[in-house]
Amino acid sequence: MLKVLHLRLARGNPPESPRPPLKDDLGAVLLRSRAGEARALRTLLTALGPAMLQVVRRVLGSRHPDVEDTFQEATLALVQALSTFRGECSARQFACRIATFTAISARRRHKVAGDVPLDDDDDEDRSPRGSETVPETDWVLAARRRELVRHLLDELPVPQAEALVLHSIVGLTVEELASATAVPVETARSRLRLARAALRVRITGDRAALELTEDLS
Amino acid sequence: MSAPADSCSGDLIVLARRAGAESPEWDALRTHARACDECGVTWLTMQWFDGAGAVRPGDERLVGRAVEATLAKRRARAGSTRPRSRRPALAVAASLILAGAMASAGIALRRHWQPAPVGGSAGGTTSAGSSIGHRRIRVGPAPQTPPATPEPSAPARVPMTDPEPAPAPHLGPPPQTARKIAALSRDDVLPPAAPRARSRQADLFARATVARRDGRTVEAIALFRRLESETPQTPEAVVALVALGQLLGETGEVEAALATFDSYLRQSPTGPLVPEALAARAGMLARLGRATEARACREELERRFPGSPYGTRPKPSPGGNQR
Repeated sequence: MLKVLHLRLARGNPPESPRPPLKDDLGAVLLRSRAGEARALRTLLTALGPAMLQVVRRVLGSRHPDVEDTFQEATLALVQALSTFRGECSARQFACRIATFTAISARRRHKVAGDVPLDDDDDEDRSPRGSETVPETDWVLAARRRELVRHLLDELPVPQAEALVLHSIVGLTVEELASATAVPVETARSRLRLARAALRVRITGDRAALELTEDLS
Repeated sequence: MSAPADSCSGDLIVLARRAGAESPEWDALRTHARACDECGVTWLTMQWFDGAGAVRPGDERLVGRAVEATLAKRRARAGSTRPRSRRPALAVAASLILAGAMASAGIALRRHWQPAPVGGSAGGTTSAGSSIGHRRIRVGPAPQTPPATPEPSAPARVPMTDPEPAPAPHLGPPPQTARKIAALSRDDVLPPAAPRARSRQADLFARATVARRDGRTVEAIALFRRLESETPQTPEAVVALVALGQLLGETGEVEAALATFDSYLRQSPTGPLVPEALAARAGMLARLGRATEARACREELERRFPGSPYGTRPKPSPGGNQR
């Protein structure tokens, strides 16, 4: 990569950058972190931590015993990946992508090891517990539906699982997804389409799941 | 709120949530999501995960712990990658010399200083080892009280032996040593292994994809064509046909693009990119003025992939706007 860059510079052609760097509120901090400034790195990690933690919790399940370890693993992965950050997406999107990948990998690792229960009713997420506006049954159903998606994440190819999480759970647009995962937009769209098709098949193929998703009809 | 260019890719809901749409717009979105399979699944998934994994009291401590641990690991790694100093080696040499000197001194002074009783004590004296260098030299009188926890039966510690006793006669090095040897031969003795080479087709595919992503269309086309000619029939080459066809279509080589899509559909009739290939093929046929064939191709797409976002079925959009 560096070699290619040097060759281009030697020819006098600037590197092609069809995607202009995004304006990012953490851009300056990120640059200083990359330069090795420990204080900036601490600020960056503290700023990105909550978003990464939320992604890890959403993928693993809030009560998963390895949430903290996986989160820590994700922050370390972020620090190691800073040098590869090309500025094509925001720092938050980059961090969320790393958290997503780390959490998906952790789920798969534990599933293979079979040592950690993956099911989780997320009951701690019932923030307005006992709220009149949100019936109790809806929380239970939502938790079961989340487990449906999480089980699917274990089985999908990693790029598709990653696309599904980043788009449908984290909330990136297709273009942002393409930037964050460093693939062409068409590729991101294809991955997303295949993942959603798999989710639809899972929903329609599973009677219990179909009952859970009555709002589809 | 304006609909994005490709409003049925699921982005509509993402953008609406981000913009904080008003209630009527949400109603329109809900209607749209029920009509459009793609948006429907996105809508449901987002709803299911709303509120999951939200920030809780105490999270700031959790984040703080992770940040500190990460910074500590980073510092440790930075420390371990520094060039090795010769100081540790010098220190080891100095301590060996000192140990030898102390051993000699121990022999010489044994007559004058009372050696500690074998068995040791809390004051700390001995090991009944064979090496005099390991015998501690005690200054001052020996303790008068017996040790609270005598350990005379403890086996003598013999330096420079494997701490793991071999349970049975064992030919060859003990397992731990064997592991060390294996590690040595892997990392230090043998010449460094060449990095695992990616297959030719994977390398070409990756380079072409990067070029395509970066907008270097001509280079991407050239690389995809090389992939097709050098490694035909490989999975990468087959999948690349769709990307190549799309690039050719973008550069105006419509007939070549059509042939490429036909080639993909022939080689991979049930492949994962068949909807994309059919949709793009229909587009190329239309651009060539072959309207009947284009219509037939779209009908095939509709028939085989009824929920596909590339279908011709009109999809309602929020607020009744059609894209």
